[in-house]
Amino acid sequence: MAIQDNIEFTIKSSTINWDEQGIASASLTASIGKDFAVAKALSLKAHPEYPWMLRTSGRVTAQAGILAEINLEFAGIDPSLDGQVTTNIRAATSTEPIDTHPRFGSGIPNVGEEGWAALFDPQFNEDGSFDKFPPKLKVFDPQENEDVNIANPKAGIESYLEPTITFEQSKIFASESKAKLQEHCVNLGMIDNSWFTGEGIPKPPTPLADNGTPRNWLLVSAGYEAIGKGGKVTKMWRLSGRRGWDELIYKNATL
Amino acid sequence: MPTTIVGERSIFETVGSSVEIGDYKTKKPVGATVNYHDTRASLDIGKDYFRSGTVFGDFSSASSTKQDGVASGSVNYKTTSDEVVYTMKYNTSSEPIDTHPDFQKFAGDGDNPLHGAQFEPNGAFRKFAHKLSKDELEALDIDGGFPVRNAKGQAAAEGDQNWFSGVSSYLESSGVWTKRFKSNRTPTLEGLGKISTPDGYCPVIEGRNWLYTGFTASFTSPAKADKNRTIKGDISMEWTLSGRRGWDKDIYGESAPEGGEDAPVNIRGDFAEQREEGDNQLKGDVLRNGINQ
Repeated sequence: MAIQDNIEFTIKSSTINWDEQGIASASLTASIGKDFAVAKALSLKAHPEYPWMLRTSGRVTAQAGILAEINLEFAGIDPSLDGQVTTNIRAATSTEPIDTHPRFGSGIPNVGEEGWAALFDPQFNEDGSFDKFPPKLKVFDPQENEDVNIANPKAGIESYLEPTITFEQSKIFASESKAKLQEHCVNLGMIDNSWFTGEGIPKPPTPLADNGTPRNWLLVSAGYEAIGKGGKVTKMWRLSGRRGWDELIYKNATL
Repeated sequence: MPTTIVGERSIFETVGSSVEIGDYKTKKPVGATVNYHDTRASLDIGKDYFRSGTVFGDFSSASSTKQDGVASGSVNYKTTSDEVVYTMKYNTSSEPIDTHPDFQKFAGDGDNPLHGAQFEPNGAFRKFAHKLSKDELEALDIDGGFPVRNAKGQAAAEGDQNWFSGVSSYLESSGVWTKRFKSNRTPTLEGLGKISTPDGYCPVIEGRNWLYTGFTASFTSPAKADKNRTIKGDISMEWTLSGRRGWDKDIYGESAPEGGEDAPVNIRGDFAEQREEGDNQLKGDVLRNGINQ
């Protein structure tokens, strides 16, 4: 039986929610004597039942008589789910100039390293850059024994769809300092292979480059969010093209 | 409602717990919500309930409230169904008018322009004239089924506004075929950006073909205390339908149907050592009957 106007700290209700990644949020409602309420609320830096959850916000509301109500919010990462990694691999296509196509070639007939473009009479600007494929194409007609004009199958083609692959991971740490969390991000902008490994974590799909070695990955995004006594680190890499990321432009952190 | 007596040491799967049943194709439940009340003295709010999943799926989320010595809440489990879902979405995109497959029929070319079409000296299309000239009306004979019309859609006379005046683009229909499924393998990059045929009875349209344009694969590793979690990722693969002339084989090349074989990633095998380590850490944990079975 509750004692009316009990000024002792009494938890009236406590709620906790877990999401799929193990990040938990909690709210707590308690009553206490008005004179001690603010000091008590400030002293509750961690959840009284779940010390791995730290206070994120709170409110003390004066009630009739000598009592006050404390409402506190907490967040943290459940130690039972420590280390869980979520991996997302995305492949999409982006529009690129047609003259950057890997099999475009020099565009000049009967020249070594010939690609498909030379067969369709590509036109170039004075500075040597690609201009366009003309609407008409001269081909030899053996029946007429002369060149005839036909519609150029590549007329109007200025671009093509090039695949772009990104590999994104986020890992939760139940207990980790901010200094340790930021250490995961130091290779930002570098050629990097510091992805998280473990059970249920796929490796990044890495096809071969032109030189026969695996292509490499550029760490294009990295950051962390402090949650409770730990946090979540999120990193994203982008797969190189067939020549790999240039080590003169991007520092190689894998060496 | 459950008849829970405060102080009683017991667990109840309460009224209101539910199991999700999928459509007519699914043979197993696709998810569940398990409600509970827990009145044990050594109460640790709902913590055990998300640890090992149920036969109805993997842990998705949980909520628990403790009040007056009783913890109550619910745990949601999501499907582990292996069902493959195919989706077709049609759309249109704006394309230059001179890339229309019948462009030459209604616009001619640099030597024989039709409907007021104007071309650059090198033969590239420039625009349609605003007004129709006498010469253009006389070109009716070689029109090939596209009568010269004025802006009102009537038979054109000299000086009338051109029906095609201002036309610089047209809407080309296209579509995206999506295949969604669960797998412990990541899709291959081998066929990406190449012409291939998706499975699942995708639409077959004369002259058109499919380009494997992308995928997403999402995996969540099992937590230390959730060792029974199904290790399968959510995969979504996309193919884009070509225009009426098909995707260019010189530019894109072709690959095997379905974009080629999946990458042979045996997740459990690759990480057997870490799994053993995780099992050792779990020793001593007791999973609850009733909820977990």
